[in-house]
Amino acid sequence: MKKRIAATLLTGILTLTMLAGCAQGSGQTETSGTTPAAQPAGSTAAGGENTDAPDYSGIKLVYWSNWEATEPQGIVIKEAVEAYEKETGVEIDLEFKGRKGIKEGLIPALDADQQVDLFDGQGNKSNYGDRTVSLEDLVKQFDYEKDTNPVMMELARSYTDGVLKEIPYQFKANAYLYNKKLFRDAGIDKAPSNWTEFLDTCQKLKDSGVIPLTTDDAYAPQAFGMHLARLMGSDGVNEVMFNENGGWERPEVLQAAKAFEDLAGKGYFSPLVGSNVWPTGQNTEFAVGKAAMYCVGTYVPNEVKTITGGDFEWGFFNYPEVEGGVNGTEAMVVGAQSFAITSKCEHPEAAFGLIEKLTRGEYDAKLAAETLGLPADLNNTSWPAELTELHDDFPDLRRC
Amino acid sequence: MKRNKSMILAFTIPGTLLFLLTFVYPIIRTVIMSFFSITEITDPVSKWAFSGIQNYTALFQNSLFQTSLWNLFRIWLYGGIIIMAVSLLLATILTSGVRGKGFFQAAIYLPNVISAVAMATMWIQYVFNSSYGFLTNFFKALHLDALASIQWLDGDHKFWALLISYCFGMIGHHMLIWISGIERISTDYYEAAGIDGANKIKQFFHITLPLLKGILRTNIIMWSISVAGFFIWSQLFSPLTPDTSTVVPMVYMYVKLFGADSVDVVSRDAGSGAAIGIILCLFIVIIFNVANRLLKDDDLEF
Repeated sequence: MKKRIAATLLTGILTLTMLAGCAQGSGQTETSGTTPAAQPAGSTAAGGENTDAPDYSGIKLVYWSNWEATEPQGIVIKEAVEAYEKETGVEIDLEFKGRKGIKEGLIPALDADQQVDLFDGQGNKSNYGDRTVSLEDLVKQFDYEKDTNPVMMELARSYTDGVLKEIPYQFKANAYLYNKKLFRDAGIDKAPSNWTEFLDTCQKLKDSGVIPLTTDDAYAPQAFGMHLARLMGSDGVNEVMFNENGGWERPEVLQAAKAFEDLAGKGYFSPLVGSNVWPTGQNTEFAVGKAAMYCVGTYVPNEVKTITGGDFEWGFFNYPEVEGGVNGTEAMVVGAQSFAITSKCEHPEAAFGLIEKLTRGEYDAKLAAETLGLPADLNNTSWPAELTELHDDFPDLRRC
Repeated sequence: MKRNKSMILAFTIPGTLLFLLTFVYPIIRTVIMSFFSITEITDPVSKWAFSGIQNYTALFQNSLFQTSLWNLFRIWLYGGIIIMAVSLLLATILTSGVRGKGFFQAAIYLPNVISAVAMATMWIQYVFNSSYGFLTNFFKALHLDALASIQWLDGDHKFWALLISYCFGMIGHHMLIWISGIERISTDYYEAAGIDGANKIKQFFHITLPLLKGILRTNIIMWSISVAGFFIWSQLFSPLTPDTSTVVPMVYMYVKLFGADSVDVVSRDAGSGAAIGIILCLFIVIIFNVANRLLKDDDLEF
């Protein structure tokens, strides 16, 4: 029965797994200089004051956001929406629906012919079907693609059979976040890149009197899923999840389980790890410096910033390579939040202009800074200090 | 008296229509939906595909759904026994003429007034937490290290932690129902029994308990209804993703209907969701009928 839960989680993890290798084609095409009927804001300068902004007076858009008005994302989005209204004359009805509001309420609202023009939320909106529209033409029209991480665009396309129906932002990666100070105190000068080094790191941390690893109930299967993906690759884990070709009986599953048994047996996990109901481990063990490593997503520094304060030295390393594994550290679990435009929208250019406003230039930088997140605009090079170490690992085909 | 049929019709039609529209129609639609393969709850009928009892067979073959039913049954049975016993005991004590009845009654009922989210957070963070929770500190103070080291929220104990904290809140509700039943019993019986030499315990077993049969039935049915809708507590004890020790059918239904929260499981299945709704409904109907058969109180008049 535990298997089923792990399977559910693994599905999530694996759909996000993307190879960062340079061999993969980006699918990026040179866009021709077509001039759209309504001249959109220049893509790279979209964040700032733009005197060439198109006139959308008389147009009203309804924007449902999955953030709360009080979250850093909500605050920046509100500012950007107000700036966009001022620039273009468009009227935007911004509604902060929260995650549940979008998840439970958006499809029924659209099916009941309620006007919602654009919305944001967790990446992979494939379940919306034809309720969301293809953004391929708009992306070309706005010459948008050249400034977004091509891997993230490819990931977004992969959800809907190669057709772009969502614009990614608030990128994230999942692997080990760690406390650099605790590493330094334990005499560790380099983050581990393979399993032997990982075990060595754990031992050194333990010897220095620190708990090497902790997690919470909700995130516990992440490390297991990544370990399995290192061993057998994404396709193999898919087979495990759907119990095909031997599935759960395959030797790699036992091998991964043994690896965790080994970690537990050596006392590397927090003694309280079994009873950590999220966010207990994250907040009371990792963020306060009792435990050194936590396998989770890069959104955590933002979630715990009120606990850690500014002094916490954040580190990040990709899931270590394991001996005999199919994938190495060139594979990373990545994902994003995303924007989509609904089929109810009568002015997709105006809606896309707002998406551009939020994911380019000033407001993209602000969103990244306020949420300790990753910018969507490749020209925004200022990554949050907390995630500096992710910068070199994060898949970006343009650097190849 | 001559009945004015048109008048009767005029007055009953609005109510009947509302009842049909808001109760009967959704029930019939849900029953029908449970036999179709449907993605979204708002999908038009043209998108439904008939699948017979496939939703039901798939559910009963699914190990996580089996676990959720088993958890629900355990909550109903163990929780029911604990709650019925404790709430009846408290009700008997409070109606026996103790001082401060009003205060205790309000205090015991209080958890029902507080939001379930606040209550569950209190239990998880301040009672069961293994590093600073009440239980850990309490047993440490008594030097009972074995008890202090129990991890109340790990896989082995989480179900019981959930059950105890849920029962704690529900006792007040059922106690009030018991009290209303006990107060209905005339004091004459107790006086007569007292004169005949029956002590309080004998009075309880020979007067109170037999006369509370109908109330017991009410309590069991009320308890079953609230257990069938068990959802928030399970969500709070296992946030983000369901956990085998706390998953219940409503949580499973929620994931089926709206996809999972923290991961990219976006596939939705409203047909299965409807089938779960029907299964839970049958659960209550069966208990209602069994309770009505076993606990007949029409043989007593008082």
